[in-house]
Amino acid sequence: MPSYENPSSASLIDGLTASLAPVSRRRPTREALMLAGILALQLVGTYLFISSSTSAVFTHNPTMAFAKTGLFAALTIGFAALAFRSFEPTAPRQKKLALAIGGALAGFAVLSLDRSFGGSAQAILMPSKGITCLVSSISFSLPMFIGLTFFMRGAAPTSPKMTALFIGIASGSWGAFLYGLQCPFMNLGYVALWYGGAIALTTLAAAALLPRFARW
Amino acid sequence: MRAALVTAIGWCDTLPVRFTGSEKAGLVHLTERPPVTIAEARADMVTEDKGETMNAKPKLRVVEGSEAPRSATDLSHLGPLMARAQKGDKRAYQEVLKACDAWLRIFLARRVAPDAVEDVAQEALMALHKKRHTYDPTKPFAPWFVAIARYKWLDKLRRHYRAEEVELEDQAAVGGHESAVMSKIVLERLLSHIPENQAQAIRLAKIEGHALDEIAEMTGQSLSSVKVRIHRGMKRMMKRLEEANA
Repeated sequence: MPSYENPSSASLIDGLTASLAPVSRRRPTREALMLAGILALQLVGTYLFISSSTSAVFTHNPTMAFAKTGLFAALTIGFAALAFRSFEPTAPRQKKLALAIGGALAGFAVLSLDRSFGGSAQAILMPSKGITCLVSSISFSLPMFIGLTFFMRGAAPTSPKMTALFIGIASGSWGAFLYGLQCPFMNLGYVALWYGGAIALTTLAAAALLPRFARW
Repeated sequence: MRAALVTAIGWCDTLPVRFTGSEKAGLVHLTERPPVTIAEARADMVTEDKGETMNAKPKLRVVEGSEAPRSATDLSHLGPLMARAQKGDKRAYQEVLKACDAWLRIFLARRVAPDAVEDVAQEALMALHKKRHTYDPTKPFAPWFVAIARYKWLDKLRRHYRAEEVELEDQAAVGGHESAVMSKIVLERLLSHIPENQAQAIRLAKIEGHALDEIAEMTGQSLSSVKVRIHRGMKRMMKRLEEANA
């Protein structure tokens, strides 16, 4: 058998071999279930506090309420799945798939939310309420943000920037979903500005912070 | 830059790996690489008597078991070994590392400057070590390791590119002759894929070795415009490289 051993690598290989210890394999399904469990607890805990508001929202305007929460739930699931997939080193670049998911859901939002833009921008966008919405959505996104970051560190993403974007969008969407359960505002402009802003901020934070946590 | 920039000479080449689809130890080997088609098998046939002419009846040389000679580009047998390594089998792990090291030398030979091969190969081996728990033994080993190696290679290029940007500001001198020749070939290939004004600025700076102020004078552009063109062109080339190897 031909020997391809390179003398200059021999000491490194010996060192790595000597330091070898058994490792428990990464199990993506278990990680996804753990994350789902944490998020389920957060959902139940939040719902206990907001159940009356949520009932009022879904009773008053059920179609748009379902459309809004469905939109954020779909964004969360779609981008969390992309993030998990990108944890594998062999994962392809998923830019087109991400654009397709984002585009389809943006189109769905335009079609299903309240598109009436009569009145002043102040009346539609309601900055005083909107800021609360933005900050709360970001706060609610933290468990998912931290959870996905933790799993990313244990994985081997070969496109850390793309992975960070997926994590940011998934986390921001989760926060928007939770806070949106009791939020009565269905105007497209309001949702785009304040919920979209929350998702954009978590995504920016993820893009700035997470690639350096990839631990290669 | 000339040194390694884009030593990515092989950016459009195929990866030197053979995905045989089997993770089992090779059962049949004809010379160094297993044939894929009948035509290839015929070509790989060897005659027992070396002095015989083309009329001699060729015979297959079949080697069984794990002692079969393997090409350094063949990683297909490493899956079970890596699975054992994950459980702490040092002997299996050493075999995996040696095979990967041999593969890396070939992979990197036409992608980074000769003096950088050692660094990148060692970084890739370290990455394999750190991320060994992410290998799934139910899947082939080769794509997993190749993805890691490619990532480390592109990472090296990115870091080199950033360093070059700083160097560009200082109008630094050129590297070794061998690297310069390699980089010229590589750059010419990549330059054909970017806008001409950016290609011209890069050609003058990186191949002909002109200083930035000279280029500004020659092209009638401002100094900052020349810098921007070089920067954008380099970014495009990096993107092209990454896409070609994705």
